[in-house]
Amino acid sequence: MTQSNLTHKYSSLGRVAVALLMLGLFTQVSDAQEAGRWSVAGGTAALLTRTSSSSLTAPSLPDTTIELSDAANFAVNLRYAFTNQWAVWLPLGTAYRIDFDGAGSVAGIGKVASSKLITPTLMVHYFFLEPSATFRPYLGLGATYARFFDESGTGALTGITNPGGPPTTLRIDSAFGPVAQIGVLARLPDKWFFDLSVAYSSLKTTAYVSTGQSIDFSSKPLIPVLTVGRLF
Amino acid sequence: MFRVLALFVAALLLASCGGDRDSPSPRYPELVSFGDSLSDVGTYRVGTVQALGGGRYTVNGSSARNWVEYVAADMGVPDLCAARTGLDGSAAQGFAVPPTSHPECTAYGQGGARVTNPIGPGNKALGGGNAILGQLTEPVVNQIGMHLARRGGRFSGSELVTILAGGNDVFMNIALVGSGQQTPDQAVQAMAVAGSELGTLVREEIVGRGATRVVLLLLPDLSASPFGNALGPQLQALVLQMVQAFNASLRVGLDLPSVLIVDTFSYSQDQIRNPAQYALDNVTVPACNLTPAANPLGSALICTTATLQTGSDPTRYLFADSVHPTPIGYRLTAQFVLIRMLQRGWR
Repeated sequence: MTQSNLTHKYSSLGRVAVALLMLGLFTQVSDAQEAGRWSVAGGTAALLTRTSSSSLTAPSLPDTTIELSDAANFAVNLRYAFTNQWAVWLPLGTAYRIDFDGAGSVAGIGKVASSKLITPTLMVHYFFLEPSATFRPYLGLGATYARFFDESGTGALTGITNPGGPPTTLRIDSAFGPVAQIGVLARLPDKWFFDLSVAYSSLKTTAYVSTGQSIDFSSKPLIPVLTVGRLF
Repeated sequence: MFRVLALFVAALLLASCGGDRDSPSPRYPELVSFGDSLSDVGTYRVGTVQALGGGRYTVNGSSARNWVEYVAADMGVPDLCAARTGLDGSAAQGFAVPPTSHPECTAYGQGGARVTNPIGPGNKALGGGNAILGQLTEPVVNQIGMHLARRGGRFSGSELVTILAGGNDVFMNIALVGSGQQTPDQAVQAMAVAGSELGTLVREEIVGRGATRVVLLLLPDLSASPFGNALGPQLQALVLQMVQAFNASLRVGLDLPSVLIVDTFSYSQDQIRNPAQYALDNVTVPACNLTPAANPLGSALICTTATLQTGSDPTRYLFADSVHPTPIGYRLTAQFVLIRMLQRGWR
């Protein structure tokens, strides 16, 4: 390879770099959510469970129901924009820890069970406005799979189902649910952004108690998600 | 919005370390129970009663417990044992066993016991079949006195105390109406007096002597039991009135932080009105075979899993005999008591 060849090569790379830089300066597309870009965002998601439950099956005091505690996790969310308007969003995160408290006629008995919960979710996002806009509202639609694990019953659960017997245990069916979401991306300098959204879902499932009883419950959770992200 | 922010903060604090908000349950060194057959864990498990496999007023068997034993087991307190054992009946039939005190035992409930009257069902003073069995029927007032005598006149304050009585006052008073020795009004009045006496005992001799956790069960609706159903409509209605009079005067002055009144009256009615809710198939017929051949006493005291009515399933029947629950019936009562205790922060 000759000296002139090398020079030629460097200068053409330089021209490309200058062109890219100018593109960035004049349109700022290089740090915007646009077609073909990945982003990763970290933060937290709150799960406001908003439960309603049927009554524990017999034998039980009439109106023996449950209420799920709210929870929050550490969230890591991936997004890939396949056009300037459309993206897919994959929220990942640590498991939620949910407490189940007695409600209805047994309100005030305290915690009867707890469980961990992961909610693998896939969403499609539609972004309004141009990629260069400082604030970009978006709508999302997708589905989630709520998987309960590490369920455990408390002494109170044993007391109201099988006093003096072996500790009452439980397992909770996993459930699919649709998810709708509204959110907004706020651009920060240097490819960084804030992402604030609220998702809504609707899930129905059943907890099975080792005494042979069961309780159906449904949740219409609101999930505010607050993250800081970076484009790649 | 505050709530959401608080949750975010909570996530930061909790997600890594996984905090547990399970509140600690109070621990009781002992459970002290007073009352009648419903709380009797084996006063008469001696002589022939023991030989027949009986001792509790239910379907006796290896896993049978009464409500107070279920509560004790749930609390993790040591197994209950009868504070006194013995029978004062027919020696020829094995029902004469000199009464023995067991100072280490704190289950004072005795079959046949009334609130203050020492002569209850099964007491030999009543003659006939009662004299054959000879239940001690030491009334609740004596039971409390016995405990206080053992403990220097005081409750420790850390024990759990349970009381359930009044049923035998109903049986004795309704019998007097049936035999014309008492008017219905007098029977209702007698129950109001008995209820008031029990309330006074709770206030002065239990709470007043240091107890801080006293669980008082209201008298269940005996008019809805097989016993009540067999009386005919007039006497059945009278029994309901008597039970209500007892409970009404019992509660007076007991709205205290150290007393938990459990409405087992309404609960018993709900069990009978909505049996399916409690996984019960039969709330009207005793599960025990009470014919003389199978059960010479006609009582759950000697009923066992081997002497059941053909086709009866004790796990689906509420009653063992005309008034006493099956083990399942007792367990349901215990569950209800525990719900109320949990709500009060007592469990």
